[in-house]
Amino acid sequence: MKLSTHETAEVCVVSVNESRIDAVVAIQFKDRMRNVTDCSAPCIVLDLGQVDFIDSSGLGAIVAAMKQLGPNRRLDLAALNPNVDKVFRLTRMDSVFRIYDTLEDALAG
Amino acid sequence: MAQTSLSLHFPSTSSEVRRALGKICDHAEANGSKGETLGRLEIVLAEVLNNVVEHALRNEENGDIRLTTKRLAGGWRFDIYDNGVPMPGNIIPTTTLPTTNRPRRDLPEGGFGWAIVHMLAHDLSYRRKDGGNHLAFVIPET
Repeated sequence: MKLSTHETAEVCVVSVNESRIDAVVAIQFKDRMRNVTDCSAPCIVLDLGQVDFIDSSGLGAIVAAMKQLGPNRRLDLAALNPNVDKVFRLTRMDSVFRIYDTLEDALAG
Repeated sequence: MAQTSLSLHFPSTSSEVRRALGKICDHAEANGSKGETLGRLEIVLAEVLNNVVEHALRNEENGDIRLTTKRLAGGWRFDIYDNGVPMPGNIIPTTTLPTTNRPRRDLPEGGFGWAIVHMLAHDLSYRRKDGGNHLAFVIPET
């Protein structure tokens, strides 16, 4: 599970450098997120631009990644491809996250 | 004209499920299915096949899954067989979506799978027969 990060004072961008967050990698994803979000930025932006498939295990792992940030830090999502966006909308988890069309929008937001 | 039906037989692991999904999507695409249908087909199959791996065949060293798919006029029919334990109560779980309107610490991390399947698949049926499970459904073409 390849993640890369880019950090400023206020935001930590985590880019998922994988095409899938599925049952094969969901636990790895959650563990890696715990490591890479061990910073002081109050807002994490998860850049999903390279991800073209997510299943319910991957969705659960993203929710878990948000929960492990604690109550005072945000996890926002950016650049969802159509199939990924659809899973968030179908499960109504789009109401739980701030979702931005692009990474630029998220950083401006 | 490409073959319109496809049969796969694979061991019960999440990596094999991922590989099978790739083959099925390639097959559907070669038979003219487009983006939205392919997306729908992939998510439904991922949910039902991972359910087999994680529940029906959880404790099974020799778990195997057989899948056949066939092109219909308005979509794709799937038949999935496994040699695992039955669905609880011998029925397809009729899970409704977990509620999201709750504090962050209580947000659901699971329970979405069957809800997704019920929303996207048609003609869902399940039968327990000869010590195995048979799940069938149709993914409509859009």
